[in-house]
Amino acid sequence: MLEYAIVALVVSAAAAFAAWRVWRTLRVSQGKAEGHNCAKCPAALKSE
Amino acid sequence: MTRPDKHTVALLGNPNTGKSTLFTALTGTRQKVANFPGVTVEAKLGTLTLDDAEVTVIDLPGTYSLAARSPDERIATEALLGRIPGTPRPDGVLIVLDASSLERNLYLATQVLEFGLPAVVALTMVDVAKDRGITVDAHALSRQLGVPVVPVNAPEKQGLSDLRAELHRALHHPGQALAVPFGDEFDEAVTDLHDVVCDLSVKLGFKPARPEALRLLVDGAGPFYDECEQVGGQAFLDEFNKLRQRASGGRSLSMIEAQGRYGLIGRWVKEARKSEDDGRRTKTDRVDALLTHKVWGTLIFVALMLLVFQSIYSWAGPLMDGIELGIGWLGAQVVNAIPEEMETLRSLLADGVFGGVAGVLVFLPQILILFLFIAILEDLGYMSRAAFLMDRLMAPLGLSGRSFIPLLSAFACAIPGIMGTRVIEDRNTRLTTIFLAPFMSCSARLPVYTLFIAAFVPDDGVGPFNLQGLVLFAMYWVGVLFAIPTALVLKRGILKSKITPFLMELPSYKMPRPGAVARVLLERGGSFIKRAGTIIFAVSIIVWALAYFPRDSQVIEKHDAATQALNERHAAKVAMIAKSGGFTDDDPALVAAIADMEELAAVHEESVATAKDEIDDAIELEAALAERSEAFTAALLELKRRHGGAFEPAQEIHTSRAEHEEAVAGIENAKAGELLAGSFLGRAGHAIEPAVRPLGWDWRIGMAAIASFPAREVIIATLGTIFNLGGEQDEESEGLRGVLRNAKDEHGNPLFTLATALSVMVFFALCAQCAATLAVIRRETNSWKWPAASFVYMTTLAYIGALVTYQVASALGA
Repeated sequence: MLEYAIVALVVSAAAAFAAWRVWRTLRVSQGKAEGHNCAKCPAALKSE
Repeated sequence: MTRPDKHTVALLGNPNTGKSTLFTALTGTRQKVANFPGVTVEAKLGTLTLDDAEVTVIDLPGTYSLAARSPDERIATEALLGRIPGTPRPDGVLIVLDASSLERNLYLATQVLEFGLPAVVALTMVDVAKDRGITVDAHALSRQLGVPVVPVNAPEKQGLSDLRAELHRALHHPGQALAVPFGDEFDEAVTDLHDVVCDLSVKLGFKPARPEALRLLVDGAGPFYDECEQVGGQAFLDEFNKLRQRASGGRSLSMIEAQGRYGLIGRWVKEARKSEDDGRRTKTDRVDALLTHKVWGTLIFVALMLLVFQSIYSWAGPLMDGIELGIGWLGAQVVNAIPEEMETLRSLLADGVFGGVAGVLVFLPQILILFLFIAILEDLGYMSRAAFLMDRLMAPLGLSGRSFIPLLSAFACAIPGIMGTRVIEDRNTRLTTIFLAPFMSCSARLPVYTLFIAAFVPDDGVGPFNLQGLVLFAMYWVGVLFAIPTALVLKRGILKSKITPFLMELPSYKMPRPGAVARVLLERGGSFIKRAGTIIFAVSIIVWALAYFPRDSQVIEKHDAATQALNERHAAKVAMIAKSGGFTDDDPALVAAIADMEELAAVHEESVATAKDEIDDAIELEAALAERSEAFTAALLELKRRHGGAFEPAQEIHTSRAEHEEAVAGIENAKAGELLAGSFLGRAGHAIEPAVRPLGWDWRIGMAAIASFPAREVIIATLGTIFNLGGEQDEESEGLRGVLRNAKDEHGNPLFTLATALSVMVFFALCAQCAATLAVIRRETNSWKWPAASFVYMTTLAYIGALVTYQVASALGA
């Protein structure tokens, strides 16, 4: 049981992380969040 | 205790003036510093402490002027006016001036000083100017400009304390706006236009500054113009056009502005600069004559790139083997620490984590070697010479050097490349460049290429080069080759526009700074490890789960029963052989003879394998194998003499055990293959198999390619997981390369041929497999149309490219 609990936890955590990345990528695409290489970039705060 | 004063200072300057280095020296913020115009396309924030004051420094994109042409220039103006949400309004400016190109640098300075903010000038590149026989008198320049001028050498940390002191003083005194004389008509028109836009300030929501009115008058475009037009309507437009006509007096307004500014700059420079230039060609000029030469320059460029790709193979090999061994050892320790009955958890760790994601880390040395070269060439100043060479080739495509810089950045990663297109003024050229950036072979493709090249391209010499290095070099050109017709179609079709001339600056050569190079390596290596540890890790675990579940108990029982039967049959056979020799199967004499026999066989096998590995010449190899065979026979005779009557049954048992182990391994592999085929991933894979068959792929490669759409490197982890779970692992193979080489299709033939490997590589070279890039294209173009077009176009091209590659390579017998 312990084994399956650990495996289920790891796989769910990976799935949750992947889902969060999809959500964040969508936010970045709409200029609502900071993305790759854009930390503290005023340019990224204003949509073109 | 009093609270520290808080200030905000904008750091402005032309590209490639050492602005980013100064920012890092002042604030200690880590940032990439490159000797290349236009690299800083995004502003960064850092904090500087001055006695009792805490100063936030905004490092704005390097720009030549504040005209509202390109997005970078707009950002600089808006930041100066405090109109960027989330970024405080600066209460001072730090202007960076390159002493070796004073006139051009002062042009931007005159525009910034018109805003009237307290300002300090940092004079950089004083040593470069001195080498060219130019001396700048900082005191005289300061008198002319009316603001402090401090010579600094940021890499050597010279002049920084004086600069801090002047900045501290300036922030506590009001600034004075510079008035550049442009002529009465022009100046009056600016004043009148300022009055007109001030009347709109309630509707605009802010009070426009006079320099904004000047920019509006000269540029007649940009976001401020749009806002005024929106709130002022036709009445504003009529007044605006009237004022522009009055100001111009029939001449170009940009010309009037340039003449006014350069007139003033000329007077300043006359007072502050001494030049010993006697028309001699400097060392830089002589080197440039060679490096930017149409023929020699191009040859040197190609030779340098070949050297880079050769080094990736010859230097990275031992490091990669080291990492592979280390990961293998660590994996074995971790997996062995889990009890054997926890089979699922062991598989998760062995196949998902160590067989999958850890395999990606093996490619770290290659990434580091690539970026070591790029960082050195960039810091040396060579990259802008390469850009100059390429600029000539861009014109027939309707693009200029301005597009080349972002495209060159895209070879590292498409995202900074796409963001770098903000320096492009023309919308259509910018969109074309954005569309082309993902075609450049980014560093995420490197592990894919090197894995397949190392596994399937022979390690042969071709003249002074190595075939593997040449194939890698060719793979980097695949994207470029497809980008050329794409650019032609776009620029002559839907994105037609005029080519704007691009003036490129060739900075002086500098010795690469070890610190700057190390920072690039740390950033790139860190980001690769971070990707492996986050998104690739998560996808690997998900792929493992999809490839492991559901477990069909009937399949497991069927194969376990077969193994059990084999074990029983083998035990009976061993007992029978022992008995026929007059022994029991646990007789110490027989056990010792079997142990010696196995040891001898293992030593012999290893020595044969080493000979096959090390000796290339067929005749020499034959001789060496014959020699080893003789030695083996002699050793067998010695064993026979030593063990007497136990020798014969021991030899028989040894042979039978080897056959038994092979049969058990066969059943285990069949079981693993059947379980994988019945898993979620296996079922989906078989459904898509007809689509990938023409590319020479089986369902496993197809699924690995599909799993790589979020990020390309995922394919390595996925292939590792799929082939490990599918029972393809081989103890003697060198990691994933060996696993792929040994992989078999359903008929027992090798799954990968050179043609399959080339087809996979071409697919990865052309496919838009990067969710982050598509997201950034959406953000930069403000529309889903462009990322959707890019995805569909590149994926179709990748499929057709891989199909043609496989069919042609197979027909040629690869």
